[in-house]
Amino acid sequence: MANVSPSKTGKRSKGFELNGRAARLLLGGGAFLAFSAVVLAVWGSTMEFPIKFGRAISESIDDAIGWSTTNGAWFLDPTSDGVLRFLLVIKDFFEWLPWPIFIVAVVIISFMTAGRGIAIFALLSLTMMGGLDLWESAMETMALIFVAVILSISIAVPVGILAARSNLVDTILRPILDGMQTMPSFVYLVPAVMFFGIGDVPAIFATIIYAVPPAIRLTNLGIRQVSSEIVEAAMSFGTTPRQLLLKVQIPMAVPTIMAGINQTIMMALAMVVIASLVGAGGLGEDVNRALNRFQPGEALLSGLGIVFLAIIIDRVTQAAAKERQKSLMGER
Amino acid sequence: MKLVKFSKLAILAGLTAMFALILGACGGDDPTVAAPAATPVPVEKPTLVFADLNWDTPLLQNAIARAIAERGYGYETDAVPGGTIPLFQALVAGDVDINMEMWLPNQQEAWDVAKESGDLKIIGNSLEDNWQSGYLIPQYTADANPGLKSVTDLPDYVDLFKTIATGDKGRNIGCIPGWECEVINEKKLAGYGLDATYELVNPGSIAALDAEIVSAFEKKEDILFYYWGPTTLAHKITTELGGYYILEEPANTAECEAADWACAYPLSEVLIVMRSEIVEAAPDIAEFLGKWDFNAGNQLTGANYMAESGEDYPEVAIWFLQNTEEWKTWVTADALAKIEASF
Repeated sequence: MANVSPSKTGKRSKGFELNGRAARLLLGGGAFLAFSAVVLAVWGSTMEFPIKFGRAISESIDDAIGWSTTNGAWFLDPTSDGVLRFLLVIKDFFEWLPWPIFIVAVVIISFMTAGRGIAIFALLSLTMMGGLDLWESAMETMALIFVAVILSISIAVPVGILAARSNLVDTILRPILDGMQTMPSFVYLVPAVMFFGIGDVPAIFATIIYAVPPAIRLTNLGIRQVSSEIVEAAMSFGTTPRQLLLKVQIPMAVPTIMAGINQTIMMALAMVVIASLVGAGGLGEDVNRALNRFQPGEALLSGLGIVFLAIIIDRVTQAAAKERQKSLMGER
Repeated sequence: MKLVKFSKLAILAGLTAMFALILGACGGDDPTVAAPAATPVPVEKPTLVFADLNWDTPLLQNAIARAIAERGYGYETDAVPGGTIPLFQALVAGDVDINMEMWLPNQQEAWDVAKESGDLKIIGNSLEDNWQSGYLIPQYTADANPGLKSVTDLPDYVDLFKTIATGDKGRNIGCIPGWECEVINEKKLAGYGLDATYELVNPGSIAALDAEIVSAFEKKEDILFYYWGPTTLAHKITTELGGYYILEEPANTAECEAADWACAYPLSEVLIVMRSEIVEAAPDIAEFLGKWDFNAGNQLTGANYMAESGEDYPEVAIWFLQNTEEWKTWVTADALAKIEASF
C-alpha cells in the first residue's frame, strides 16, 4: 500500500479518495465495535429474537394444503388419474416386453447413435441386470422415468419458448427454477402425497419439479442463441413470427434443447430413490428396502442398476444431440 | 501529500489496533472459559449419547430422559438423529450409548446378532400399554358398513377399497419397505386368503403413509391401512379426524405364527438398550432407566402439549417434568430434589 506513492501526477486524487474510504472504514468499524459492545453488555450473547412469526406462517400453509386437498379434488383427482393411467399403459408395455427384444433394441440404438463401445456396454450391463435379478425393477424404473421425462418435456418446451420470447417471463422464471432445483425434495414430497395419494403419481410429480428446470433453461438458451443474422435473413424473406419460431428458431435450437433433455433424464434418474419414499416401485424401492434391512450389498447392486441405465441413456441422448448439431452445421 | 501518508499509517495502525483488540478479547476469553471447565471434567462421568430415532415416541422419551439425566444426575447428554438401522449400527459400534426403543420382533434378526457380542444390555421396557399393530379403517367407513367387523369380512367389501393402481383388487396399504411387518403383512394376506381380493401397497416411508392417511380422512375416503400405536397420528385421528376402527382378528398364538399367520400381531416388546460399558460407568442412569415406565398416557400428554404450544422436544420435556407426577417414582430422592430445584 505504502509503495503506491501519491507524489506521481494523476495519483493525487486517488490517494485522497483512498484516504476518505479508509476513514469511513475506520469510522464504520469503530461504530460496529461500539454497537457490538453495547449489545453484549446489555443482552449478553444469547439474545432472543424479539418477534417470531414462523409458526403463524407455517400453520397457515398447513391449513392451505389441507384446504386444497379437500377442495381441489375436482382438479387434483382427474390429474392424478390421468397421469396414473398413462403410466400404467407404459408400465404394462415395459413389463410385457420380453427381455431379449429390449436388450437387442437398446444395443441397436446404442450402436447407431453412440457407437460400438456403448453398444457393447449396453449389452453387458443389461444382461448383467437380468442376472442380478434387477430386470423387473429396472423396467418399472424405466416406465417411471419415461413418463416423468415425457411430461417434463411437454412442460419445458413451451415454457422455455415463452421465456425466450419475453424477458419479463425470463426474469420471473429464473428464481422459481432456482428454487425448484435447490428446495429439498422432502419438502414437497408430503404435500404431493396429500394431493395425489400414495404411489407413482406423487413420485412423478416430485421428479418433474426437480428435473424440469434444465430443459426449460436450455430451451430458452437454445432459442436465444440462434444468431440474429439468421433471424434477420429469415425475416427479410418475409416469415411470419410463427414461421420464424417453428421453422427457424426451434430447429436451430434442437441440439441445445436435447442437451437440456439429457440433463432432465439424468436428474430424473437421480430422484428414483427419493421417489421410492412415497411408494414408487422399481430400483429405488429396492435400494430403500435394502437400506432399511441393513443389506448394503443388495442396495449397492440396485444402485448399480440405476447407474447402468443412466450411462446408457446419457451416452445415447448425447450422441443424438451431437449428430443433430453436425447435420445443422452441414446445412449451414 | 504528507497528510495522505500519515493518514494511511494511521489507518494501518488503527486497523491493527482493532484486530489486536478483537484477538485480545478472544484470547482473553479463552483461558477463562477453559480453566474452570478443565477441573470438573476429570470426574469420570461419561457423556450419554441417545439414539434420536426419527419418530415421535423416542424423540419425546429421549428429551425427558436427557433432562432428568442432566438435571438430576449431573451427566452431559447428546443425541444422534437417524433411522432405525443406522442408529442400531451406531449402538453396536459404540457411537450411541442408549436406545430407548428397540422394537421386537421388528428388529429381531439384528438384535439376535448384537446380543451375542455382549456389548449391549437390556435395561427395561418402554411403551408398555399400547395397542400395537393392526388393520385400520376410518370410523365413518365402519359406521357406513356395519357388516365390516373383522379381517375375514374384507372380501365382501372390496369395492370400497378399489383404486386405479390396484385394478380389480382392493388396496391394503402395508408397512414400510424393509421392516419386518412388511414380510408379516404378506404372510397374513395369504394366510387369510385375502391375496385374491386385496393387494398390499407399499407406502415408501412413514411420512408418506401419514400424509396419505390424513388426506384420505380429510376427504372422507374409504381407506384400509396397517398402523400402530400409540402414535401422534393415531391420536390425531381420534381427536380431530373422527376416529378409527381396528378390524378384528383371531388372537395371536405361536402355532398360528408358525403355520399360516392368520392371526393378529403379537404385542411387541419395546426394549431400552444400553451399551455395557455405559451401564458400568453410569450405574445410576441404568437404575433410573430400569424403573422407566413411559406409557401411552405419558406420550399423549406430551404430544398434546406439543401440539398446543408449538414448542420443541426439549421444552416439552421440561414442561412434562413440571406438570406430571409419574416420572417422580423412577428417580432417586436426591435426583428428584435436584431436578425440582433446577426449575
